[in-house]
Amino acid sequence: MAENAFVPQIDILNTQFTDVTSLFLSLSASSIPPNQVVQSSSFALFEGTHALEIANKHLDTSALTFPATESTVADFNFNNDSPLQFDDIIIIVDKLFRLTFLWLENNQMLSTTVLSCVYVEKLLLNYTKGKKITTKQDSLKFATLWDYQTEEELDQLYSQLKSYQKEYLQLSQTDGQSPRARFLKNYILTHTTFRSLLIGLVNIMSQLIQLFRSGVVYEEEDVISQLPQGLEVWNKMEDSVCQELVMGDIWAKKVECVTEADAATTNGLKLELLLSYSNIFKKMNELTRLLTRSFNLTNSNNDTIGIGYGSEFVDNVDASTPTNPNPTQVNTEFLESMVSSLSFFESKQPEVTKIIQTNTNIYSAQCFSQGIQKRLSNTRPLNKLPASEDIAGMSYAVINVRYFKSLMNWLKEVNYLMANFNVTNFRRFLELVFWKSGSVGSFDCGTTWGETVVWRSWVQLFMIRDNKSLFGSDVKLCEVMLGQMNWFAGIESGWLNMAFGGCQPEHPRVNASSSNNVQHQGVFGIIDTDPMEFIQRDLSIPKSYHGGDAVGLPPKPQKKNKKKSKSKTRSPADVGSLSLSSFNGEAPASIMRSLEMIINYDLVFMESAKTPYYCSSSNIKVSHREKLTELLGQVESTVFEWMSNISNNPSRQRQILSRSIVNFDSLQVAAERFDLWTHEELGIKEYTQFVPRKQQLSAILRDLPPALPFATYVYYLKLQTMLQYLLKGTPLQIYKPWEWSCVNWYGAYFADNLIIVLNRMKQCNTAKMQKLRYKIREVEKLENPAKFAKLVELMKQDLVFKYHLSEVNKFAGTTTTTTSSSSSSQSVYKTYNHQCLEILQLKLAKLMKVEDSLLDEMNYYESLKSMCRGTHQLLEVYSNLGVSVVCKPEFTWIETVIAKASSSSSSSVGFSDDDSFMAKLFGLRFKSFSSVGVPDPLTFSQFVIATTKDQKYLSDNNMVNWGLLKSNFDSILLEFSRTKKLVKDQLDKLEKESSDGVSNSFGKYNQLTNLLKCSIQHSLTIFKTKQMIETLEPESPIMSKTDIAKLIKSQNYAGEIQYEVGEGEASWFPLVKLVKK
Amino acid sequence: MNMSDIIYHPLDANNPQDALDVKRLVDLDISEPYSIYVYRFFLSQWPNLCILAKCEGKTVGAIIAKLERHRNVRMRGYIGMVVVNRSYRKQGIAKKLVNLVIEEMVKEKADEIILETEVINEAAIGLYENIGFLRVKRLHRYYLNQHDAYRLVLPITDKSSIRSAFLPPPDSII
Ligand SMILES: CC(C)(COP(=O)(O)OP(=O)(O)OC[C@H]1O[C@@H](n2cnc3c(N)ncnc32)[C@H](O)[C@@H]1OP(=O)(O)O)[C@@H](O)C(=O)NCCC(=O)NCCS
Repeated sequence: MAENAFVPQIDILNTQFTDVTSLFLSLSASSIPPNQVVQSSSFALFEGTHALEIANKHLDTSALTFPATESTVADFNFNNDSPLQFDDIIIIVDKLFRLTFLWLENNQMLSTTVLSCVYVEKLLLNYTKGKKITTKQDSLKFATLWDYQTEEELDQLYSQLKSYQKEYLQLSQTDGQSPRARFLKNYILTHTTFRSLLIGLVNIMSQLIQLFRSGVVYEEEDVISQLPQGLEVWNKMEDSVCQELVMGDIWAKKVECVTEADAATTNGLKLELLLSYSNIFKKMNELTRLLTRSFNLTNSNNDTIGIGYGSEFVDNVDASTPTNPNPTQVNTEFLESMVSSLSFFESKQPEVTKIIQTNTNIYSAQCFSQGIQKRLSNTRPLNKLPASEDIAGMSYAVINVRYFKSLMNWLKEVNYLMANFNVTNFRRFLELVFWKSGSVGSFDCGTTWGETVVWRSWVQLFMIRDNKSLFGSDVKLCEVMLGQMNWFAGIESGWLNMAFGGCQPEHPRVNASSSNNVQHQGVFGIIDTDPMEFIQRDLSIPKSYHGGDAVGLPPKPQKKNKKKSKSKTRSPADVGSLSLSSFNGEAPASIMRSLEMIINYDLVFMESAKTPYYCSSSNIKVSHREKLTELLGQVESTVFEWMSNISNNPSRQRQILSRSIVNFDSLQVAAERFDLWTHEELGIKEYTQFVPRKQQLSAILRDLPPALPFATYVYYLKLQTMLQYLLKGTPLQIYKPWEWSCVNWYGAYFADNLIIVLNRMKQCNTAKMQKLRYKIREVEKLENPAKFAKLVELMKQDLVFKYHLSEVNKFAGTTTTTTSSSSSSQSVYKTYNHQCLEILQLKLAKLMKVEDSLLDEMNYYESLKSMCRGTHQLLEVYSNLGVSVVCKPEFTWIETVIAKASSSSSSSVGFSDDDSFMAKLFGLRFKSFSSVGVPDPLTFSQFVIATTKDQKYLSDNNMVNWGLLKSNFDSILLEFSRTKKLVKDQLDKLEKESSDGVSNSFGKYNQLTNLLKCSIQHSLTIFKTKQMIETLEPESPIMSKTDIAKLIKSQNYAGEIQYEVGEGEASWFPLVKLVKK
Repeated sequence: MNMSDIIYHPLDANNPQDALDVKRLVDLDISEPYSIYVYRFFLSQWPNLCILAKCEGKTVGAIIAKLERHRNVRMRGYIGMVVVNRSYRKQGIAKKLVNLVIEEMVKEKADEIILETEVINEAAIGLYENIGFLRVKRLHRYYLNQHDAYRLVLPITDKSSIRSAFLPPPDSII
């Protein structure tokens, strides 16, 4: 019943408190009548569950009494009889290091882990009090040797502290060192080396807390809400940490006097261990510093591009070079060094264990206590310290894999992406990030164990910056999403021109970029460049086709836009399309322009018959821009929320997906409105099938469904979200086995809809390809002036072309009649014409690539669909055969209660037709889909109908028709073999891709292999069951269900299905197995 | 002990011992420690939804619940805690207590009844799921002992299967 409440942070140590008890009792309390509960908007049940009741032994840690030994430890000072030795330091730091990671994931709190160490407590208190360098007395307890660096200074210190030397001299009696040396050795070890390591450790904590507080980790994540008050030193420490650590290293080396010859000795090893810890602690700051570094996804020197999806990258630019403020690669050296230090610990584990086992000093064991929970203000009830096996379980190998290697590997992916930034790679990258962040591991400790909270929060902050940019580059998240959208739905689309060309110059992106690159225009600065450049990476279109000198579109015929743009503007058409740059004015410019116009026909729309104009940033109407900018703002916020979800734990991620469904749903409505507006009002006519130009004005046209590219794409995202929300419930164990059947049935429905929507995108793409082919033929005809005249006739009906054709016509006319003067013109015309053809071919090639991507996506959803269908059917059969774990339960008691209530009251009228309790459960289970417009939410009765349809093998009286059951088994087997085939094909393709070095497809790869595993397992399960029943060799084709159930039992099968929820996000499907008892 | 020896009755406001008994029982067995405020909050406002099970005058089981309007669109019952003395478990006492509370809530027009329970509390999960409660979400590290919890929901009317933002406020329903 408890959630973590917000706890205001007060500097307890420096606050003056006033006792108001008597005032409270005499004034306030007397006005409260007995048995009355005080409530206010700021204090009710929620706050009450977090109240720490005074003198309640379960809640009030200050009322606790500790055993005698505990209080000794609580008073632990650093001038004890037996000072710390090298061994102690290793033991304590080793334990603290593990505890730090135990805090992060193993159901532990700060006060029971890192803060349970009295040294840490002491250190933090000193820090909090600002006591970095303390008095003589204090310095002995725990101060720094900062000021004592030279031999003379040490001599001075030695004489000052002589009174304490006795205890230090007790040590190392036989090592032949002078008393001074021995004293200093122990003193320094304790006060400098150990201290610096503690500071380093606390700094890790502090860095992480800052990371979590950056707003991406929810309070329920717990890691931040449980700090004991009074130790608010996190922000103050960072500066001095590295300095202190360096100093600690120096002193440690000095003390140990490790020479080359010494290196192999135990002391050499111990020193190396300490230095390795120190190394890890020092590097920690790098990790958080990376979060404020900006990276470059573009090459700002490349003047051909705005956003630079197509830019060339300089390899391996050192991230730390100050001359390169925006590197294009993340320098992962610091992480590699941390990883190798951890590996060193891993390899030295036996030695460390030996040190721990042979250590006789009690303090390293006793310095961990519950005391801090009593001594410092604490917002939690008393908690136990972690068990020693838990601490041992947090091994260096585990820490390394989960915390350091995982980040390092991810950064490698980032570097790969940065160096190969294009549509496909970005999509794969996102798949990977979502896959990793959403993965659910084991449930051993009653909690999920996927990617760590450090990974999730760090990755999110590093990837998605406050200004909604990607890695702090000048590429906005929204742009890459639009890039994705464009890839699937926007290429060669008039809508796209509208979107990328017609935008508010006020948009921050435009402002940000306009100062250094005049070519930036359009909503996201992507105007002419983004999508096409993005795509162009995949195709390597020769530079000449989008060269920086590209002259813009023709002067606009309409009067409103007389003002000439000062900058060299390029239309979206310029990329991979025609430009005038390669011609030197031999043919009249107007002719060339008109030809361009014809070739880039899609990019043209009509205001009125007389004033055709290009839809580009400079001449689009303000009202149009506003409409677009508003819509894109909505896209941005939806996408932002959707992507930021990666920082959440898998449980919360699923909840956010549920919210995203609503967001995508309303975005889809807005997108559709916009698509229709461009179609109807702006006249950007795009259809799901190709309409030859001459037919476009005909009446058939009205019956053709408009392409709606934007809405279609949003719908696709929404469906993906719905399917993910649904299937992610399985690994989180939200569904009971009896529910898997309807969950998978619903899943198949979403997958099916995804296939339909992808097919629609494919149709649109095909239409575009047909259109291009048609155009190619047209342009080929244009080469022959005679045919040209005919074409002119054809085109005459087309209003858009009227203006331009008349221009071309004039020119063509001159070339045919006046041969002498026009031969050079004609050759220019021909060259130009060839170039047009080449461009059109390239556009066609692009669309073919898109088709390929669409087919890949369709295959993926086909495999999910058949997996869902097969699993649904499999579970239904088992349920019908009486396998209890998946049998649908009956809830007769509650059914009666509800029925009684609704018959007695007329006001509680239900919304649905089907009033059974099962229908209610169904409605509740799929509540997240209930508000969605399309696809229609499914109903319980649909489920019943769909399910009984497959159950022809069931006859009355609990009998089963074996023949029909067998064929049911066969059809399920068929479904799974279909899954297998589809998955295998995709895996082969991915393998080929990665061997070509095209993209990293790890995320997808995992999903697919998991699907493969499940489908194989399920086939096996069905096969086994079928075989088993076959042994009955029924005389009659009809057998009783009870016999089958008995049979399963007699074969010593558990009579149950053992189910497993596999690991990783990909395990959207339960593994259903038949197991022998 | 015979099941018929168990007497169930709602909290008696005139008998201060009832409240003390409930608190003592819960403190003993619930992993999450609660302040007196929490008990008072439930017991003083919804005494009818606090039901005690007594055996020969001794309180051996109790349930604490509340019923309130949720986001102003549906009536939501909430079961705060249910506990049965160790020596009296596995005899259907908890089931009876939960049933009584549910009946009361249904009578008072609850649209749904919710609660949270630790993912590892098999007894409680079994108890509720057998009645018809459904897990609707997993709550990460929900409890002080850092275990995840399930939110369980029992739908009573169809309002429970519509997102609250899409439900009309009560005054617009005639
Ligand atoms: C949970 C608790 C209240 C159950 O009390 P109880 O009186 O023993 O339960 P009942 O005898 O009424 O059992 C009812 C159902 O609960 C389930 N159940 C009870 N104990 C169970 C156990 N140990 N394991 C699995 N299921 C169990 C069963 O489904 C049982 O139905 P069945 O007997 O028809 O199979 C009791 O174990 C308890 O007090 N636990 C500590 C407090 C707690 O965890 N409360 C719940 C959190 S708010």
